[in-house]
Amino acid sequence: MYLQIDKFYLEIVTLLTMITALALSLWSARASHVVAAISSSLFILYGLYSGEFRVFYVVSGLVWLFSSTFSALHDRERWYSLTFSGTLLGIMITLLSQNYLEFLTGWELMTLFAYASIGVYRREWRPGYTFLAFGEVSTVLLIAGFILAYQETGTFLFHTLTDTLPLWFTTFGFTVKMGIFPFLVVEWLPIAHGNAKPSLSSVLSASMTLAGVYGIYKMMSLCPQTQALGGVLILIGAFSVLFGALYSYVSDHMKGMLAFSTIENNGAILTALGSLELSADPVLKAFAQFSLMVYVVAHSLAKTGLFLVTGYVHGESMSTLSTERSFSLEIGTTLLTASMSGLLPTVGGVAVWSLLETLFMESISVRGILGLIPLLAGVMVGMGEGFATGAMARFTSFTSLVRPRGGERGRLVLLIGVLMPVLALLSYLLSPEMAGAASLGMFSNSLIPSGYSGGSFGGISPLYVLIILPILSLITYLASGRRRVRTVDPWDNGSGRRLTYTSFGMANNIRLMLRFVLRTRKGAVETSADVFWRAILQLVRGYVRFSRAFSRAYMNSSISWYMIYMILAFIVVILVVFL
Amino acid sequence: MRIIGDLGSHCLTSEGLVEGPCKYSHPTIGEGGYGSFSFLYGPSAGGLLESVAFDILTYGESIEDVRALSYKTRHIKVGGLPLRDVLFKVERINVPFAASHTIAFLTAVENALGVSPPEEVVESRIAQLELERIRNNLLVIQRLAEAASFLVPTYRLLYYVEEVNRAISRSCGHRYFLGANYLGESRCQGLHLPRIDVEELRDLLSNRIFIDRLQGNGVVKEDWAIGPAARAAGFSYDARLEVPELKYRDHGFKIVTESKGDAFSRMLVRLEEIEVSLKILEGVEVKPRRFELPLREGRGIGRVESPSGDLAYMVQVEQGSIKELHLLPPSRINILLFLRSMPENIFTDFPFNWESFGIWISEAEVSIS
Repeated sequence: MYLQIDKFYLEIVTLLTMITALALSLWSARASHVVAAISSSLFILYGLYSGEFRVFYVVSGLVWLFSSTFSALHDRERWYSLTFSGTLLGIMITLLSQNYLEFLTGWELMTLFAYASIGVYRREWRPGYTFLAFGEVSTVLLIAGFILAYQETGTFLFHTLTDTLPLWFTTFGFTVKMGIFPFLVVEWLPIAHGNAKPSLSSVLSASMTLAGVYGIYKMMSLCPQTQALGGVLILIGAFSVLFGALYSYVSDHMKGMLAFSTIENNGAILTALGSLELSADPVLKAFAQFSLMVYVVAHSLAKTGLFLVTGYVHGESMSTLSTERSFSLEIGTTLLTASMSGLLPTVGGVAVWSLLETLFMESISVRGILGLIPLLAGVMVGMGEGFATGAMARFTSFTSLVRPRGGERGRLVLLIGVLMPVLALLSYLLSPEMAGAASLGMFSNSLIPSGYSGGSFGGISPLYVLIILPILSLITYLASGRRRVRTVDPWDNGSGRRLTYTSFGMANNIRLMLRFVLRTRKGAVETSADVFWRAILQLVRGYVRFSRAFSRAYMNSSISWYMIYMILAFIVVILVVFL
Repeated sequence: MRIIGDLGSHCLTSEGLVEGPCKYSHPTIGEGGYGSFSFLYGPSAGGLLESVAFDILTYGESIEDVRALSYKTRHIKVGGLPLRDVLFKVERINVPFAASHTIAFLTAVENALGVSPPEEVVESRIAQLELERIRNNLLVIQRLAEAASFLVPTYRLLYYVEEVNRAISRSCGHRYFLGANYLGESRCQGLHLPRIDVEELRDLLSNRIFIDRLQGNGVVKEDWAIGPAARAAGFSYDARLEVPELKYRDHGFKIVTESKGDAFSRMLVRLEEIEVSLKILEGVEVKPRRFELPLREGRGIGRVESPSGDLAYMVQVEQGSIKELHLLPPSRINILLFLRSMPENIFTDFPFNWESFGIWISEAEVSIS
């Protein structure tokens, strides 16, 4: 009881602190960011006391804490601190909501403040409008789902439901916000994220999309299990992983490529959510839940760090940007991209491994044609991770590794980077099971095993990798002595023209090989186009043409035709509602 | 009438000289858009036999435009020199094509002086040109095999190149025909045919990996193309049937053509031409022979079909010395064709396409004054 009261007050204090940050933004940007950082810390504390949704709260709080700290150090505009803290407040209300109305209030607050921030930053409103338009599509679907839920329970409170329809509606609403939808895979989110300040980009990418994941997870916990939705989510998610990673690989816009990478990560999280919904095996469900949570942790924090890296870079084009390399940025960026590439001993490695294990275990345990879905998804996720590794290698190389050395910047990035292996160790706490394999040198409880009711499947030991790597490095060091490094200019055939390869060139092989899908164009800034985005545009143009023709033919100021139209529309709406 | 190339200030065509320079269709020079950058290949890079560099405009992987950079320019002064001294220099412009250069030069001199060489000299010249063609075609195919890292075929082809070199040496006293031809004289004695198993060479065509590197690579179908590049694109262009001095028609010579105009077609043409040349050589008798050259003034053109296409000289002779000399080396045209064929290909296509033209920078970048 004491803890309950404490938690309630903590929630109130956290919210009030964030509202204070919002109010302070009218006076001082720095004060607003500092207070937002304090509120984020309180939210982390609140998250630690929470039960089922603990990971969402703690991770969101960490993302806000890092972003606010970065803003406090680097941003001075009051308008920005206003929209920034407003966005954080919106997400906070969404996560803390106890009913559908509170949820929608937070959701809209978040959307509107983020829209204002994107628009004001560039003084160009198109990216903001794009963001707002898709945000509202999402809201409409959520309202539809929530109304259906209200119809069933008669209350706006989050109550258990017996119908799966609210889950279907809201899930698609949330996936729109995550940049994922069957006919709209990868375009709006990069436009919006690529046009925001680094700290807001990290919030949009890591925390706002996390709110979408939270929403689906919450609705899943309220609705009965539906395998069909699980299968659909797995396929949509895996498809998004593949295409998000592909577009990230070929994008030369620094923040755009990170935003595409976000879609890839969101796709992976959606796949994990689908796996959770597909499987009826409790052991496998527990492992899928582990996979989901680890992915949420890995993606949110690594993406926050990477967006903050962009704050130290001048220019947006990967091929022409200028920056200085520092030890902190070098190590931080390498660890972050290693995590995003799914490499051990980082938390991203555990996340990718666990997701693939989940999918392949489901392909064995789920019977019938449904079993093919996770198998197919596993293949797509595997391919996507390959592209992701290439994209991340390019990001690290051209933002840090190949740049001239100078200064000591990016300590915050280093801190987040170091979290990646630390969180890999903390992933043991999320694992439903731990084991040992003494014969392999993995002693008691140092192995995270994967398994389902039919038997065990595999295992991984981040601790083992974390210990072995320095030992092997030490042995190499002792055997070969201090490394001798000779730094030379890149060889340009002796021409002295200092010709170097570019980021754009590094990804051009895929642009050429997949020119049919990417619609590669040469000699233009936009060299690759999204076929899905084009399909949507064509659909919209077709609809506009149809509407125009329809209005000219039947609504040409003729009151009788107008009456007929109204009656027909009314009948159709009644039929739809009735059905 | 077909365009052969610029010879001095004129344009040489299959019908003779016309006012120059030759009119080529100008290619569109690629403008680099966002993401494009320059990539320099050569002059000090693996895969290139001679000093040459290429400035490649690329977006990465794909080649948008190529410019050849000169690193081997040579100026040869011949004005006022006696014919024998000029012959000595001409012979050494591009030693792998020494027979083609000297025979074209001597033909130009003989035409300038109004002399027709005797039958034995013509036969000897045909034998030399065909031996040189066999060797060069083998070398081009060997370079293609080497570019694909096919070491066994590479060394087998080098073995055949050595066979041809030894046959030439036994016939003419020098592996590269140096000293084999002189003013009013042909010095080769007896013809030693190289032993070449053409069927073994055709085994290369059964390797799909090798063929894939060549097919569709460097397609060029310009009507001003010459030599194997023209014949690979379906044009029946060959100086052996157009030039009356060397009586190829008497030896049952037939033109080999392909249609695709890519590196593979160029290799096929060269491969089949080895067999055609061997057949021509079977009907040729080689004997040394001298003949008189009068001391006259005049102007003449000499043209032969070198292994890589038309090679021509135009001379103005006065008092046994050169007053004017112009050269049209086949490599100069082939470089233009190569540059035109390269856009739309990718980096890995480069060495195969380059080798398929059989270009020698030594003759392309020589200037005679």
